[in-house]
Amino acid sequence: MATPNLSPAIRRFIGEHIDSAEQLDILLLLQRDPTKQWTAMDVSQAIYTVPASATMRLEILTSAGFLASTGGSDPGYRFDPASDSLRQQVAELAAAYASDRVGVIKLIFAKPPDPLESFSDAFRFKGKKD
Amino acid sequence: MATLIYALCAITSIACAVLLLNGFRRSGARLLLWAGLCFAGMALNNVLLFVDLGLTPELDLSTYRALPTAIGLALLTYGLVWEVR
Amino acid sequence: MTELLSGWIVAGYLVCGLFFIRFWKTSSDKLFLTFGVAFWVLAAQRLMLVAFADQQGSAVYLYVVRLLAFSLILLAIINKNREAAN
Repeated sequence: MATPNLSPAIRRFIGEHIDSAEQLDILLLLQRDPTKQWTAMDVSQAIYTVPASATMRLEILTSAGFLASTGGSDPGYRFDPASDSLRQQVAELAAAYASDRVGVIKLIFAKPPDPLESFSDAFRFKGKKD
Repeated sequence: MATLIYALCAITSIACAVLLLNGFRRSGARLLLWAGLCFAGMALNNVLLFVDLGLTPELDLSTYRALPTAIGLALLTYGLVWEVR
Repeated sequence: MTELLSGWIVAGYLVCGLFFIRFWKTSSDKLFLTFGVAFWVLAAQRLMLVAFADQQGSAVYLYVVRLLAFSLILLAIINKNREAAN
């Protein structure tokens, strides 16, 4: 796998925090403009997915420390990392994605599936999404 | 009426076991194997309940009934501790 | 022996239910919340079985509680598929 631009740090970051291409899209979407607040509906329209899926990804990113949520029944989410090192890592990921999009996508799909996601998907009759 | 309740419990736990073990086959996530086996244990417990209380009231299978549930829960606990990131 | 197994089972349901509640907190997937609550109901049911072991008549009511727990699980599955269809 020829991915000369992707440092071990990026690989580690993806391994720890990025479970799907959709999650990457959402993280980078919000990172592009940290002053903007998004609802799950806004995000789902921007990246062409269902609001329930967007909500799940947004909540995961919030509890991982990347986003700030206003809470309540229809929260607004903003890119607001809990630490500067997280902010730096996301910036590096954004740069890596811009220069080697295929490599980053490959890394995401090389990961074993999240067991919890698989557990939840097992109860779908019509098979997995994405 | 009672047998209907036991039967419904049995059917639901069998369904969960089937869905989870099938999911394990599709995704390879081992958590689903342990969870599927746990629900299989619960299913066995419910089926034995059906047999014990519904069909053979003169026998007391209560200890044998409890064993599959206990083993299933031990397997699921193992899976929840070790197979989740 | 049966009482030892019952204790084991109550503890097992409680711990597994607790894990499911944690997964619900981190993933916001309501399926896990329902499984967690269902497992805690099953723990309570097992406890009640032991507590009311002497009263033969109450056995059926206790299994209605078990059916309630499994109904919750069925609801979670149905809900998940309705969500996925939208």
